[in-house]
Amino acid sequence: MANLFVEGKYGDKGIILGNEAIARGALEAGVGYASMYPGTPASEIIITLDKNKKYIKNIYTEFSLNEHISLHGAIGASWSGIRSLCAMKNVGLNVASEPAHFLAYTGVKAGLVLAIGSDPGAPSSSNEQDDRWYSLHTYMPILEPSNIQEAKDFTKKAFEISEQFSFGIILMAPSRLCHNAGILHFGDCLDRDLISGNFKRDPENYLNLFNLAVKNHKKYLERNELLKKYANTSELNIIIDAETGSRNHYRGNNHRIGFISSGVIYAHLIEALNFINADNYKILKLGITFPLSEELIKRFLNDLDEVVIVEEAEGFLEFQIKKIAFEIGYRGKIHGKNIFNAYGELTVDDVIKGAANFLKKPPPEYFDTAVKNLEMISDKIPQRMGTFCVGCPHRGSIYSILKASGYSNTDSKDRDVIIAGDIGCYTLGLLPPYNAMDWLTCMNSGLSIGQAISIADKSKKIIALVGDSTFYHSGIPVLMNAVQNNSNILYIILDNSWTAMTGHQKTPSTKIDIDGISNPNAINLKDLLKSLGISYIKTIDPNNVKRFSVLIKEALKEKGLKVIIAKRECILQEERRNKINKIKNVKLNNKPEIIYELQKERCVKCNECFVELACPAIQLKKEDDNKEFYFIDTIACVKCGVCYEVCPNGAIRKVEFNLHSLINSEPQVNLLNNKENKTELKIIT
Amino acid sequence: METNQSILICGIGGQGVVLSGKIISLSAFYENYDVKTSEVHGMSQRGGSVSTHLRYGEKIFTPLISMHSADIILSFDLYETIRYIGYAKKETKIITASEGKYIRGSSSNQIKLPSPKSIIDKIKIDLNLKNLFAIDIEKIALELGNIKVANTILIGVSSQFTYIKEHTWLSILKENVPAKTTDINEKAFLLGRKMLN
Repeated sequence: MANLFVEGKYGDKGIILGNEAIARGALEAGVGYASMYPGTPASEIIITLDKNKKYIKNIYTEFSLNEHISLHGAIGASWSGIRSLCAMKNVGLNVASEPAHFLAYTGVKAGLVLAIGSDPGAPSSSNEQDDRWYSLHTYMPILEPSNIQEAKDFTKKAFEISEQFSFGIILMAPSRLCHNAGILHFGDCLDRDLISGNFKRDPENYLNLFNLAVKNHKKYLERNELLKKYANTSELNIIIDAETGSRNHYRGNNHRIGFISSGVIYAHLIEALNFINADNYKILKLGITFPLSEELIKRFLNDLDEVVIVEEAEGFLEFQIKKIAFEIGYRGKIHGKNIFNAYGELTVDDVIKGAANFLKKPPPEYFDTAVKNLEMISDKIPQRMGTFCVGCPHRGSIYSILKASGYSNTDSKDRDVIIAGDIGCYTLGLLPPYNAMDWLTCMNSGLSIGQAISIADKSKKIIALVGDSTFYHSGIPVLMNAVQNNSNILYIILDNSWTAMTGHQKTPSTKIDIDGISNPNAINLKDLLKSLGISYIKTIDPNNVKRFSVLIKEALKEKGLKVIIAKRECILQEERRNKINKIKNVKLNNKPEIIYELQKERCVKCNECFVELACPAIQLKKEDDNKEFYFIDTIACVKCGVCYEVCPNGAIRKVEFNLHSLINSEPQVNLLNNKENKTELKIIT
Repeated sequence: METNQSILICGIGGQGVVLSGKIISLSAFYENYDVKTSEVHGMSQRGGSVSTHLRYGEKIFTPLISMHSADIILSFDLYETIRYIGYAKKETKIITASEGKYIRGSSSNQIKLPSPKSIIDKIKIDLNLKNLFAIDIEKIALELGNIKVANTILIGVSSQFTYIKEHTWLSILKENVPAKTTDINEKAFLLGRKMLN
């Protein structure tokens, strides 16, 4: 199959990820500008367009340095008459909230869609915030698709609505849609030859000050009223009758009930009502969840005695609908957050239980069996924590920091050295066995909060951590603030050259891309730091753990602001590039191979490698006599050599051999003793 | 409605949970079923638990499987099987690797995990879930000559409990594994498919 994402047209269908469906919707709508700061679960929206850009005419994609810039970029494109798509994760809107709050004042020219990946249950976020609440003051309309097909169709439609009412428009997709896959029926794409920018001055809308701002405020409130009228009749909002579609069923003395829902929760609701064999109900499925049309809600509520609003988080729909119900004098009951949790993901089970409870149907009895089964057996199985990849440079960094501060392998509450964290791959160091971080909130919270603690509690030493992508995102002002105020803090920038967690987007630190092409615009981090007037700057390879921990100890003794750059490329990218190079360059295959081997007869199980360093390639196995021993899984091992360095007993040895020679001739074995009394086996011919 | 099937695939990051989900959903799609899947990303490359919910049939609204209603649980790690056992009902076919990868503890390595045998007994006897098939996939895969086809064996085993035809499975499998490994994957699949006969 050719590249269906790019070449698909009306009549084609395929299985596609939610994020890809959003990207496809934008493509069908003729998007010309697509930008984001990467963030799970939304990343693949722009990744999909970016990786296909060489097949798409007239498209520009950008992984911006942060969401503020990214949304502004989309606004600039829109003002130039280019349809633009900006994507971000839920907390991204906090950063982009400033442009978001001006967008209604200025309006748009070409359609602007802001796709937001929310994350109920927080499987990949530091909070569960529901960004829909922003729209109560940004007045950005919200569309909520409930499945893969709608993800594409609604995105396409969103561009039209955006242009029609001159609002930037939000397309809301939770992780459960972004990372779901399903069947998509493709539509046709707009003619991409027609995409061409032309910025025209529009001072009336773009200049906002004094009475100009007030005038534009009034104007967008009027546009919002027009949009409500649209929402009243739009096919994106639908009323579903559970029986025949006729209203006869609801006549008489029946107690009439209804459900209101949106997005993927609507899909759960349909499944749940089928599951418990519910009948005699109506559903209002809202595709536009802001603004709500009073007329539509009135129409739906009018012939119902009781209504349940099924949604995640704090009840954004319930808040709006209760207000409307009050205004129209609705006498029935409205339920919502009294039935469903305001926290965590709402699963299909939660909806089944909630709906069964409300309908006074017996909850499926086997729920109890299932829960009991699970409890009986699973409480003995500990959580399988995520950890750094094998060979990840962050493992070396976190290990060194813990060794230097003396807190390795403890979750003690009483520490004299504070390890301040924020967002990034390295944040996994907060998990056991490292228990390294003292807090985790938002981007660049490490140094910002740390600066204040260095003033508030002078008895503590503070190490603030940041990854390179996060540093460039919004860390430079924080660092300048630390310089200005001469903060007494050790700042470690963990520079792995990529925004790794979200699938390896480039950062300003990326000097060589995955194909080996160097980036002439790469920023020299050390020069940047120097230019800020920082005098204490050291650079180190984090896999050099002994030197690194000595360096940290020394730095902690110094007063003032100290910066260490722990520089080593993300191992996944390095490996990928090597793989590509190996295919291209046969000569590289001649390089000697290395194997690290854990000799069980020399291992005293001191746990330095298994528990303290905790590399997943070092594993535990039982022998036949039930004795346990450690070994290195040579398939998983990427030969970073850190375990070799940390082993205090010389039990891990490095074996070097040349594959070609091994195949071609009889090898000679040569044992070399190095100065640390570790045996190095070198097979040379 | 009875043609709907719910398959829960679980394991550890890197074991091929996502790829298996892709192969099953493409096979269902190929036979004109409606199909929906849901994955939990994020920890996929970092050793955490990974699972995919997959449902196919005439018309599917949500990909999420509710408790006690999976038709097939396909697990690449015995300890992970336990985590998802709440999705099993009496009829559920639980197809699982007979071994589990060691789970590291929080601050010491001294976690005593139940033995594979005791887990299997517990599921079969205490929980009365008789349709459990524990297969030493690593051993079989090594015998076949490539440890990486371990999950293909399990897909093969589960395939006979689905409505999807053998030739569909094989053609989708071939399209989605590395070109060099198509033969061994096909062998592994067929071996699994016939294993319980």
